[in-house]
Amino acid sequence: MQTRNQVPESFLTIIQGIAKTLKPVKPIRLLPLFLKWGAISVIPIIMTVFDHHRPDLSAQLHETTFYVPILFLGLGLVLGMFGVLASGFPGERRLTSQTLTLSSVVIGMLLLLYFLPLGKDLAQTHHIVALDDGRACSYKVLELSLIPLLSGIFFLKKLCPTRRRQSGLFLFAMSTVIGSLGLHFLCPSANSAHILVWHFFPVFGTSLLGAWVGLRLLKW
Amino acid sequence: MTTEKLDSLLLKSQQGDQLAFENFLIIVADLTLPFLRKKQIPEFDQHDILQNTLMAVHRSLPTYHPTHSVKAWLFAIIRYKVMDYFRQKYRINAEELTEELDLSLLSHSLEDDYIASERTELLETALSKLTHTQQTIIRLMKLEGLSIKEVSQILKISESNVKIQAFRGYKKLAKLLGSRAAFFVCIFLLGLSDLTNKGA
Repeated sequence: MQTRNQVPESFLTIIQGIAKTLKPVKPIRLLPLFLKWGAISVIPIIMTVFDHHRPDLSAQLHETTFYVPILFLGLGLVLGMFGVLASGFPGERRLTSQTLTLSSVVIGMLLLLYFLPLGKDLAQTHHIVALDDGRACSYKVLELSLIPLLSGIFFLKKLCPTRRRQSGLFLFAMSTVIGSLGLHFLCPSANSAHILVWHFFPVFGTSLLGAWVGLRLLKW
Repeated sequence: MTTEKLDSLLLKSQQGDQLAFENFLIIVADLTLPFLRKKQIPEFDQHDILQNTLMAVHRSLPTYHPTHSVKAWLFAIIRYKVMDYFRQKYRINAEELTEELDLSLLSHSLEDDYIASERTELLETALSKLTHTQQTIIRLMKLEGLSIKEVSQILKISESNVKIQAFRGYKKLAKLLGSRAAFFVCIFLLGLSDLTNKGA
């Protein structure tokens, strides 16, 4: 039996009361949670792509440059979603910060590629022209990010995030990145300015919102 | 209390061992109560914070894994609940006391409690080296718990001036005290002792 030097009798009663309600619990594992969240998140993208994909999709599937954003966003997403869920485990700081940092770097590198076309093919297919009105694309990004966001909130609330602002920020960011990834299959634009502003700006905007919302929504 | 013992109690608790869990909660209370007392938190609030912390430990049981550090897990939960209390109770501006600062504050307060009184003295000496305006602003904001707007009204200076002076004061304090964590611990300690003295 533990020493109870410092604990008054009233607290011991509370402790005993809490201990009496204890039932066996199954430890939550990060990987199955990540796979569930990932599976739920890609469903809207798959459904949307089957419904109304970009007109040049068949041709694009043969182009290497088509896969560059998919590779970067996919890798960034895997790392980021892992980091978001890891932030729900109290005291787990190293894995969280490593994955989230790497995710941000990988996605940042993709954004850089849009500004600095590397290689002949990328320069031909992605060029900066005048910014058009791509609000419909932004709305689509937000639409596609809704299910990943809601499911992410559901999974995070099962956990115990102690850094709610950070968790909220990256949760919203990753959800919107999923939306941007989905939009890659829908929007045929090769205008770098269009992609950066209308496809990726929602990521930044929602991230800031996520930091504010996370502090309130992820309370436990 | 060794890490292995804590880990063993926690794993038994996950399996439903109520006695092991009771012992574990006693350890949590043993760690949390002296810390709350030293911060001179009113007793009725100590009761609330401890109860919330114990409930939080219960709720967080599924998130513990043996590959994690049990102390890091436990201290993260204790810090989280204590800072939640302070956020609500003392109307601390969330932008000024970020989660980052909260964690570094409490990790030192919990684990290095025995040097708290030394740091309080150190802080008072460091504060005396600031300009009168910087001292006043820091005491009003951090010790009285006033907002930037309230401080600017009292001192009859603009809000941006308050922010600039506060920032310069914090920077100078950090330099004087030699480490960021030490500085924030002292602010935290001094702030709470003064606040509760004023409330008494």
